Amino acid sequence: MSDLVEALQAARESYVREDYATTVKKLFREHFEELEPDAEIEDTLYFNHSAIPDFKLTWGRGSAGKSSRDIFLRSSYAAVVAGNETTQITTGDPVFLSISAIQTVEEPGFVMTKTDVARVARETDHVLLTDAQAFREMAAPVPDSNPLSAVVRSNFLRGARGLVDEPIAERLRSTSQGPEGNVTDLIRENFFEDAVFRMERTALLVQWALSPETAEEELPKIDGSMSTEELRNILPWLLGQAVVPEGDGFWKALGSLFTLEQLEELAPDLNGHDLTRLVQANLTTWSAKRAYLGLNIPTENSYAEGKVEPDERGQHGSEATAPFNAGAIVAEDAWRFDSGTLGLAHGPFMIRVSNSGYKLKARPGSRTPKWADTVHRLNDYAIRSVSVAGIERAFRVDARESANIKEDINKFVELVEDDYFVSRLEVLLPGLDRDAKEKVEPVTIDFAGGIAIADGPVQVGALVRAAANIMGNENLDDELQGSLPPEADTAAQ
Amino acid sequence: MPEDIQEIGREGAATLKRWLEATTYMELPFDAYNNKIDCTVFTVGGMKKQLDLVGYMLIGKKAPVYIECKRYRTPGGQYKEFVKFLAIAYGHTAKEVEDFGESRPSLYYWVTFHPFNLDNWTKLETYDHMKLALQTHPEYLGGKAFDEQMAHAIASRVTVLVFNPKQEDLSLTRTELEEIRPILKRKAKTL
Repeated sequence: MSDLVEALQAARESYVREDYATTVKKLFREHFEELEPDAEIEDTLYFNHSAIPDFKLTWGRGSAGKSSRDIFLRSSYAAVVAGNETTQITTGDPVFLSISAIQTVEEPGFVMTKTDVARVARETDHVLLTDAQAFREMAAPVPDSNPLSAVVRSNFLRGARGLVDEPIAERLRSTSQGPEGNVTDLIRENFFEDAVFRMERTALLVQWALSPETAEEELPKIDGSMSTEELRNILPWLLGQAVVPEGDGFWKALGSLFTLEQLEELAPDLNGHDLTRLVQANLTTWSAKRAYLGLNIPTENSYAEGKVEPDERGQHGSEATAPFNAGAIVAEDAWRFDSGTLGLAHGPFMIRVSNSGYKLKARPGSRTPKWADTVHRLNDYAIRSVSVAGIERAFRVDARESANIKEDINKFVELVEDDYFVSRLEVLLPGLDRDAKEKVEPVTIDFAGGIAIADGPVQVGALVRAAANIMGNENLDDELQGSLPPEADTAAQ
Repeated sequence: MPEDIQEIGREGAATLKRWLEATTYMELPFDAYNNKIDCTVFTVGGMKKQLDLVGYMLIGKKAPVYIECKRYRTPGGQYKEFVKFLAIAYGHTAKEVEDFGESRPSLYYWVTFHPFNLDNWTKLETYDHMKLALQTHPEYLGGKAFDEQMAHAIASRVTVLVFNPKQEDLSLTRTELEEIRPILKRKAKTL
């Protein structure tokens, strides 16, 4: 990536008019993309227009966490002051980004001092006035993996306000590297409330990780939802800290701030990390729609090196026919990212979970288990539908009022002799407890494909447990403590 | 301090830029204070002139727009300057023809806070006035004969506007402009 200020100077020296505009916009776009990898960047194609922004940056998905800012490129601070722009443009939380950093002008009819610039920046609450040099300072890579410094950087365009010129930018970046883990007054002054909230949350997590005993009572203060960028700033660092508390409380509080999808976006950053404590604490907090039962074959670093294409990742085609070979097994039971998907290694198995049908696909295969071998695995589950097929007959039973269809099938199977295989099975698993309402989701077990597919979001723990139980005849109750489907005991009676 | 532009000042230039851009028909990213080179036009005879605002139309062929702004409280010496402005417009287009064998359909705007020479007011944008301008300032012919056809074309692209600060109250607001932007689609990817 080119140095922004030097590249702007070069553009000024060698381009005129339209070429200049195109070059400058391209430069800023590249630097925005680097600083804000998770933001959607809209180029309006206008350049230095008095009313229409040059860029519109939008963060967050859905209506809940969505926020956006209008970026106005300007030639100089003087252009902003002379045009009275901070009071002319008040909607869209505007950012006025001056190409020149000069703050003093003295010419007949127009005098501007640094005080004027600071005053204009403060005329409305939601304006950021900054320049290319300050932008370079704020966007500079974080020297160490200090999450606080990273969070100041990643909140700059989204949450800074007032005047942030180069001296202020320098102070902002350096204060955030202190060991005290506290958000300073300077940060409070130069960022929106919600950005300060995010930074304080990060500061709290850092403090906690470094000295857990002092922060226990702060636990309930951690709430809201984290952006993927925030998560990227803090999670790998947290996982690398030796002093992070042992108990579930910390990891549960952390896990409630994001979703499994967000965690999946961080797969390359989390390669090699043992995620067991984090996942265990959030088996009922997170949801997934797919669970895949495959073999636990070590594929270290295949994702990090970019050798495995997403298409191949989800397929695991070879596993369908590969014999269970103890020699290729990683003994340790642990949650980790493997080939881009989150999975629990358990003995010979790897149970992967995801929300994405793109990441987890059914493997090609046609083997289905015998009903007689399967029936005992279903004791704990509420069954919605079963299809069994023999050589001469096939039938299907759907639960209507009664959930006890297992017995019905047993009766049929005894009545007409045949070799019955389970071709399709649908169980009900707990969904996410939104609005404190118990919700169940139908989940189809595809034995041949080695995959369980839910219609809606299902608690990760329940989905993994069912996939391992029903498809693999593995009991994971010890590994998945606390995530048993609450209604299973009664519903299956 | 750029020459010739004391009259308008940074604030005046910003006001006119805002007003003209609010029409949605043009974009004026360059002003004499911040983009000196971009605001300089070159004419035949090796002369140059710095204008106040420069940009391009957002409709049709995206023609370049050159704007001279005057913030007068009286007619002042405007008429004389305007006549020279006409000659410069001719000299600028003639320079493009000289350099490239063709010229772009540049638009030349004279935007003032105060009208001038009401006797000739209806004739300011005519071919006859263009001819008169080149008679007064023959140096902008670059040693060549007066090109009638080119003078007709340039005269048709000269516009005199009088700005009343209250006109800003009659302009589309920043929010309205942002709302209609996706509907008008002034910016095609081709620019």
